[in-house]
Amino acid sequence: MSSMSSLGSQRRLKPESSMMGSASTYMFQKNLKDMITAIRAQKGDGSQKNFINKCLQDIRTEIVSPDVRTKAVALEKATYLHTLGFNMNWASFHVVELMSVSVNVKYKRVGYLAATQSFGDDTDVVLLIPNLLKKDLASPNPAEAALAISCLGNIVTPELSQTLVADVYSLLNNHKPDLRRRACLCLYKCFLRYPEALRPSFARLTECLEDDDQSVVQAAVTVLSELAMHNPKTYLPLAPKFYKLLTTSSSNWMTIKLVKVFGALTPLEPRLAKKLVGPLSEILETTSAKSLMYECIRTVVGGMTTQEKIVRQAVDKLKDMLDDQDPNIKYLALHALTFLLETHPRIVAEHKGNIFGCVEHEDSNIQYCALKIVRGLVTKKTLMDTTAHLMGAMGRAEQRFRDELVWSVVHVCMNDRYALVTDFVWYLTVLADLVQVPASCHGGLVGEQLIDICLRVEVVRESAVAILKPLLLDGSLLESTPANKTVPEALKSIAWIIGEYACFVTDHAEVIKALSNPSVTNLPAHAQAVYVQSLLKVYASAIPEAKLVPMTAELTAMCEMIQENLKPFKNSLHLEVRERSCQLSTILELASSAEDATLGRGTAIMEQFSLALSEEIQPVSHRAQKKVEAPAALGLSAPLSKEWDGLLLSSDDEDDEDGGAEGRKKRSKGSKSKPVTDLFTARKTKEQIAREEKDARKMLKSHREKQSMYYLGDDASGEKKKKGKKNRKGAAPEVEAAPEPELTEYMKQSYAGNASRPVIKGEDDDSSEEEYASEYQDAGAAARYAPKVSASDMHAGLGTYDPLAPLARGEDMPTVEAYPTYDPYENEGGGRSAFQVPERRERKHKSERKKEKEKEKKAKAKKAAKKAAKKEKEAAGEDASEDKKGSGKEKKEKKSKSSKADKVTEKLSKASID
Amino acid sequence: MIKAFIVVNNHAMVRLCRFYEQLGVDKQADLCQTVYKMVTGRPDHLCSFVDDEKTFGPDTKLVYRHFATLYFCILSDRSESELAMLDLIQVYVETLDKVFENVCELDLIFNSPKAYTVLDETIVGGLVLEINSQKVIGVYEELMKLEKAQASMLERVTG
Repeated sequence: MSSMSSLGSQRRLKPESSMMGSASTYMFQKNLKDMITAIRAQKGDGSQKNFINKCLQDIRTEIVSPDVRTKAVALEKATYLHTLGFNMNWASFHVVELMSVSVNVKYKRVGYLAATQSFGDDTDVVLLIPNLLKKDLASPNPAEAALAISCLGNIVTPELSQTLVADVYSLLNNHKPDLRRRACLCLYKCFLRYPEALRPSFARLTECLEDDDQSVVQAAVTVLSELAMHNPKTYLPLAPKFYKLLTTSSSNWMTIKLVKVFGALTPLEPRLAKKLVGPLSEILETTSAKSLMYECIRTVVGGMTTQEKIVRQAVDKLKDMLDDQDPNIKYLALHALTFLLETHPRIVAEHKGNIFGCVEHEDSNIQYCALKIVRGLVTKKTLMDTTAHLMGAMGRAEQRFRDELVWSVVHVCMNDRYALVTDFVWYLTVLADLVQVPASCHGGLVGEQLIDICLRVEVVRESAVAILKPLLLDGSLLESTPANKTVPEALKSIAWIIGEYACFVTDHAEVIKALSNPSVTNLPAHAQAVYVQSLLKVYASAIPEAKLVPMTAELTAMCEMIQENLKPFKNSLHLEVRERSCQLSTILELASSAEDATLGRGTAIMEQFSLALSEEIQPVSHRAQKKVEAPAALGLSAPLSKEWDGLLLSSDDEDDEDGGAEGRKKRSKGSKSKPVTDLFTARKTKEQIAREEKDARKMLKSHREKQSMYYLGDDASGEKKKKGKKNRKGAAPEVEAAPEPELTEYMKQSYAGNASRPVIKGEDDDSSEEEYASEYQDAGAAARYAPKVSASDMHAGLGTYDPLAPLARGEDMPTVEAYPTYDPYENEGGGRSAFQVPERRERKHKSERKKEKEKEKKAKAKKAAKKAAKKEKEAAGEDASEDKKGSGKEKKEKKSKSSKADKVTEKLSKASID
Repeated sequence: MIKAFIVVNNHAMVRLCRFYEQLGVDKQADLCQTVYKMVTGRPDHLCSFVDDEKTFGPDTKLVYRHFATLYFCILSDRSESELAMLDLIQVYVETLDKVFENVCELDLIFNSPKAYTVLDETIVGGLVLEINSQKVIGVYEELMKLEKAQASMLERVTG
């Protein structure tokens, strides 16, 4: 950047603008280039910011200038600074002023650009521009109309759409094709914000598909395909028209759009697939445009998988794409293959070599996509090979992808109740290897798998002990290094398995030494506790089963070793570790003193322990409780006492008296009509709970958006933190706030699966999927890109309007002639425009409607009155300054404006009195 | 639909941005920085698409292209084709190249209104208006001619 600043600043001297005449202000004004050069000449963030603030001050004085050139330059500068993050909302009134300048499109353009960049739903001056836009839309100068259309397409609000959609619509009949196509595109945005407009305009819009001008057809296709992509079912009847265009289209761009629409339509209408085979196959053969070819392939693999011939053809093309050097093409080819996994796994499997190669591609997009396919392709036969391949890839992969690989291996094996695994000893060795994957974040998952396998598959327990023992003995795994991040979780499971199946341990002394290793204190408390418990189990199993034999020297040595090594555990800060180690030490003391008294007594005691511990632990389903039938006499759903209802109600009343109006309102909303017991006994369905949770989240989110400054942190973790704090009032502040690992969706699923990991045979994983779904939604909610009114949300609103549905009885389709003659304030009196919702559809009581109307009227009046007052004030201020300068022409304009504002206030105040 | 068009340079300076869905100013800046981090974290030989639901929410993908010092990025939903978006960036840059005669970052800095005008001739409200760069230039030149004519007329009137 600094090198650029040497380009020479041609900064002119800036005079006190207020002292000069308007023309000289312009001459001495810094123009956009000067300002940018000067800003770039500032070194350092602080001085730059100061300088920009100074510039903003200058702009503020310049922008009120009566000279349109000065104003335009000032606004251009403000717009530039807006891109840098300096809000220009303060200038919105001047933006409107400049938009209405008609001497030269140049100034209009500056105004419109500023509006496009800075206006939004919450800009109040948007209420002032309908007249202006309307005038420009109908302007004889097509450049002006084009400007207005572009701008409207960007800043449209529901109100703007409602008042202007008719004007945009009438442009569909303009004799200039350029304006027709622009109007088409703009209509789409109008529909999104004001869905009622869709139905009356739809017929004319579809007519545009047959326009003489290709560019208009293209625009119409763009809009209709956009609508159809989001609500394909509604637009199925358009398929014949699209089909005709597909076979005649000469523009690749339009063909892509059409092919994409068919991609959305074919899954709904299988007969379409048959019809499409011809044209698509021709395009696949003849086109040289990769983009068009790819979209054809996508459509084929997405909804035409029943047509074997064309699937074959598409896959052949995909093969070339897979071999392509361009990573873009490679990625897209893989992406397309994922769609075929379900229906044509064999065809996908033909490209296995290539796909496996992609797992080790340097592009992570390609890696993830390839891995997804690999997971989908695994069969019983290929499981071992695939796993070996994935394990091999782990060494070379970077951290995040390595975690994904570990997760993939585990999930491929555990899926569908270990359907693919035939050799569980092999799986155990794989898991043992996975424990040692450095810096893996799935130690817990692997540990759970180990326990799960040992519990369920009896025959592998002996091998499990043999396989896992080296891991237990490996001291390096106990070190608390970043590479061993989640290893303790796995070690905990390993210690438990070795303790539980201690009968298979061969070298007890060695195992006991490992279990009581001083480095074990590095592990988290819950793992240490398991280690101590396992010590007892292993020691007890070392006692020979023969009756009443004296303790051997070996046993005594082991006992002494345990007592010695237990010392640090007995002083542990963690209660459970301390309790268990003290217990163990006492037991051992008890046994050895008994042994000292009578030979053989000690062993007998230990044998009793070993007997008590030898009972096998059976896995219990977390659903087992549900299977226990409640005794008939136990009325779980009956209210405890009817009297309590009264109690609760009366206390409610008391509250009301204290709480005043607010409390009363609450009561009238909720509890008045329903007995309290209903509220308690009514069981919430899952959907209900989910909905409530969603609503709560939404509220929290909107609150967060409004009050973001009061929230800690700037991402989703902030939300979680807050929740956590609320729950544990008074608890010590959370210490760690460990950086949340970036989760891919699969990993998230694994976490969910982790929490509800089944423990019993014949258990399936369906609950984890639900959790996954909800978590997945959260991710969406916390996303960085969250527009206030996202198009996808609006499509949901649009989807309820079926423009192709036949008219209901009594419903009239508004015609073009019925479109309102425009007066932005006319509607306030309740005048109906063709685009207003037909009353029949609202299905509301008359009284309700009336009430609503009144409310609306009041709110509108209030808002507009405020606006008008502001406008007046502003205009008055301007007047004053003008008096000084004495520019007659501008004055007149201002006056007319302010008088208009007066009129508005008059009218509105009248309305509100009414 | 195209959701946003962002041009950002190698040093995280936003050179041009247009959002076709409404977004607060701070959110806009935030999104630009997120996109910047994402694209600069990817070497040029990797593919130009990023599907990151965690960052962008559902049904939003990022397509970008790196030209010299600038990244041209498009956020769009599923109804836009990825390769077509790459073409669109290409068309836009070609058009800029002709309008500015060998476009470089400085042109975008000092003449951003011009660049926005070209963008408005290419995309209207998030939908693609024109994919042919010749035609875009034609329209643009017409507009300039008109402005010149109007300016000279004004001068004649005011004397």
